[in-house]
Amino acid sequence: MPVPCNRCNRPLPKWGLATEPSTLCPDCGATSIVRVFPALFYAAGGPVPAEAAAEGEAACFDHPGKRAVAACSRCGRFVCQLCSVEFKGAVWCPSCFTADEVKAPAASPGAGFENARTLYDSTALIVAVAPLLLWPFTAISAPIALFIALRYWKRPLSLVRRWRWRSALAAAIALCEIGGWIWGTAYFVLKART
Amino acid sequence: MANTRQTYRKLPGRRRGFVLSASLWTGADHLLSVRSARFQEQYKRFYFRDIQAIVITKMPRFVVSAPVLAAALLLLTAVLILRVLQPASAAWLWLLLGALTSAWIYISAAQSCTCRLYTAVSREDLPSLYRMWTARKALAEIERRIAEVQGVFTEDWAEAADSRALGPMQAADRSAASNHPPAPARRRTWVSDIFLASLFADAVITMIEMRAPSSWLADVSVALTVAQIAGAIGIFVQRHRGILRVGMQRLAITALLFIGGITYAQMIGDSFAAARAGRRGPVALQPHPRSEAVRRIYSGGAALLAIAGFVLSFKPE
Repeated sequence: MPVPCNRCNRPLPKWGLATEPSTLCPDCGATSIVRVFPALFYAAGGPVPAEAAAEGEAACFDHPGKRAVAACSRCGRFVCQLCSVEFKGAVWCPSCFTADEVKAPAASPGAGFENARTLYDSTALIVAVAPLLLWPFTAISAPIALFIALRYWKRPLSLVRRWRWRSALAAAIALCEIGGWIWGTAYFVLKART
Repeated sequence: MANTRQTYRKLPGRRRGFVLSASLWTGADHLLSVRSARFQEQYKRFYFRDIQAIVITKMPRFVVSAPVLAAALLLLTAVLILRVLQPASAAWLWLLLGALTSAWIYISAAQSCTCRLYTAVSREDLPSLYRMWTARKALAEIERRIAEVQGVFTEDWAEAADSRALGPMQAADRSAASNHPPAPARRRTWVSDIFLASLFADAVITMIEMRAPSSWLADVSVALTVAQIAGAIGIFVQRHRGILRVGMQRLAITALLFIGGITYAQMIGDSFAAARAGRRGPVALQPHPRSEAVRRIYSGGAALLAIAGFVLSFKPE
């Protein structure tokens, strides 16, 4: 049975799936809303097998026994069905696809296939704010937060966020903390002299 | 090559923890699952053409999100302050706190769910969808986008679905057949045992100390608090290594937040008491609660956390 219950992992009854907006699991009694889409009925997944190259036919650069189906749009190497990567209307070989030229440049976030990003703006804000709980630590953390906020100002943000307010706020808080330290030190020095 | 910037639209539902958070976004041709750990975000893309099924199952989810915990701490602090300044008003706040806690328990027990998405090669939980109303809204939007790409069923698919494999079944089978399957995470270890024992002992000692105040009992309580903090750190390390299950880590986080909250509540309470008595100057940070009310809350909370930990440790599979 293809559709399992999220709670007990046992199959949900098909009559329930077909007739009801939600279905009751006969094993654990949990109510589930199941939506199945036509992709379930597509041909079984997995890469299309590459055909063997016959005598005199062009062969794949990485798999000499397999027939070439295209040439890499960047380096020109022949690629078999297994190796060809279609991306942005062109065919790439695996090594060119993983090379930096195909990846999104830093200035155009979201253009590539990044699966993780370091959030320098959040880091700067946390470094600026968290030590306020034990304020003496701000003497060290404020310059660090300011450095992170300014040094990584142009680094790409989160894929889904638009504004740099975290970096700006972190820099502002760090400047206030540094100002506070300078003012406090000057105040106590002057007070000690007088 | 054209540098096109992908635009994303946020779907309903967001999980906001103190450290971890999760959300779902729709792009031009895919669904983007974002898991954030404050300093880093991790992305997973599910193309609309590849999504085979989405299953939402109603089940209890006692998720303490950062906004809920912040609101609870704020109310608790207000109660403690008003208890000193205006005892009559504090009773109303207690009622409000009770009503909000009841609402949270009801929503967590009866209006929560877990959501899972299937493609031919993956089975992915969507942690941002854990309340029924947001899951329904998000599902309606995702369904619409998938229907645009895949179309809709025109036949009785449930019969046909019976013969189809949903999700990465073959991969799961291969993993099960592997000669060296990974060891499953444990419910309890010696570190978690020490952590729970120190929590429970601290609760008992604080209770005894309320009846028979003694300086050495207070010192023992402080030492037990240090043991709890060390135990919690040990639990994080063991969880990171895959030795312990996630439940114990959540308990350790809750315990740390509880200890921190009590410490600051005591400090704020002391400040108000000092202000009322006309004393001036800074209030010392006390490692052990002195006020009777705070001690009661501390003792009760620590006992509840310890009991919850024992249940987690010894709950049958």
